[in-house]
Amino acid sequence: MHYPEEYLPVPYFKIDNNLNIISYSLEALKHFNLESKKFTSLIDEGSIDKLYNNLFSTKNNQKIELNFRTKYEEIALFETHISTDHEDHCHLVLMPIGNSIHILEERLSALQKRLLSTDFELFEKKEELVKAMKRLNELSGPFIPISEELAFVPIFGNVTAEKMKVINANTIKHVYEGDFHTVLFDFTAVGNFKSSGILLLGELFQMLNLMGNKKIKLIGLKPSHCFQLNDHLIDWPVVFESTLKQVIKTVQQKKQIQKRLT
Amino acid sequence: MDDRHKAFARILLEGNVEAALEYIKQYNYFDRFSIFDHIVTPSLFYIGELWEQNEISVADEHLATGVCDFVLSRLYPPAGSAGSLAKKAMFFCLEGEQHYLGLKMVSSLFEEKGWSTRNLGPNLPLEYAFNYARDWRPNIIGLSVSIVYHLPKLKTCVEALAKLPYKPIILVGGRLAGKYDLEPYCENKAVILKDLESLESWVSQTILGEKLDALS
Repeated sequence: MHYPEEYLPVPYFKIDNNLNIISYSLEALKHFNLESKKFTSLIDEGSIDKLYNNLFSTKNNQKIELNFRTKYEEIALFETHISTDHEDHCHLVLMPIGNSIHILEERLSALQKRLLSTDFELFEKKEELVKAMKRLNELSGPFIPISEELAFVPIFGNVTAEKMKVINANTIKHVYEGDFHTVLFDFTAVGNFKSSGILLLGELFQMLNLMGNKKIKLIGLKPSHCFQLNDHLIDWPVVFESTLKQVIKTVQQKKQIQKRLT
Repeated sequence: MDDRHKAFARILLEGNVEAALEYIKQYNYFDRFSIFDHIVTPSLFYIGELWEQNEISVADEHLATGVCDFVLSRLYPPAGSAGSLAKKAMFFCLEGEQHYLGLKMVSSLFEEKGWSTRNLGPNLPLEYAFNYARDWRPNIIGLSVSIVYHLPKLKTCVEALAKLPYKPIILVGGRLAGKYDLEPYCENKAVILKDLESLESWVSQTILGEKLDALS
């Protein structure tokens, strides 16, 4: 009995054991360029070994995925059903699954793009955070000129190395540019002192001292601070006052005395 | 050869993102190159073999690729701006090429060495790559090819990039570089790197060469 195989609604090939195409369905012509009679000329290089391994296999009605080269010079995926007959001919029916895979590929590509942008977003957020931290450190030790001679530096939060690096640079710059005789450091709003922060604080006092003719006054130190600062307090070129109010009062009194004398 | 890559491949094929992350994290005593060269790359090749043996479908492969991409992005996020003095490297896959994970790893290795990198990903038309390279002026342009029918495109691409007036170094890698001799398609205008190991040794030699030049 003859099967009218050319009318099969899917690409179909019948090949001999030398992989020459003996017959095919009309549907096959829609997908492939069949000038060469060799079936392997239709297969993508990456699928050739897979084809060899599964053709003429002892298992009948095999189902494998193979990549084919279409007549449009594209690579398309087909689910290939293979069976062998008693004349050693192979019958191959190709079911195109490229479309469903295409949807999957698009989703994957969307996921990949998302990952790329997420990476980038994360990185941007990190940079923003670093900037915010720096700004926060700047705000944690603002340099406030109270008069032409008196400057006030209240320090907020824990005294850490990162914070002190920012405060040191800022304070030195302002003191250098101004003509301050007294710089007040207020520790009322300080929680803890980290050892690396203490070292940098000491460096700041030494630097200010070297800049000459400056009085460095520390106010607002609590007993708990003194425990942490321990020996440093003796080494630092500083004097201690209890509160800002008291310092301003003393400065005002001195000014009044000077006025009376002149 | 141990079976670490097979175990990792199985986790990728299951689509188990958390397990895949944990699996790589347990080898924290390996450097990035070793993770890529000993586990990730062989696992991806192994997945290809499983498809060839008809054990898995293309859909499974896509899932594994997605999970692997996630793991790489999560464990090796971009290092951020490497400073204006850092050397620059740009990477892309030829137009029509979808196998981008290899390049992602290569880009990550360059980043680890302090380079400023741009990974333009899969399927990039030559014109776009050329314009990007002309404007950003990377010292190195790396491209990947894994499909035989794209080899003529590789030739056009290498020729075009070699004409960039500031003469960048062109690196060619990808699955085909390990399998065939790509020299006829590159005509001495590009450095062909067969695998991650040859990339690693090429980079160290280049850096060493530059240091020696600087000393002399």
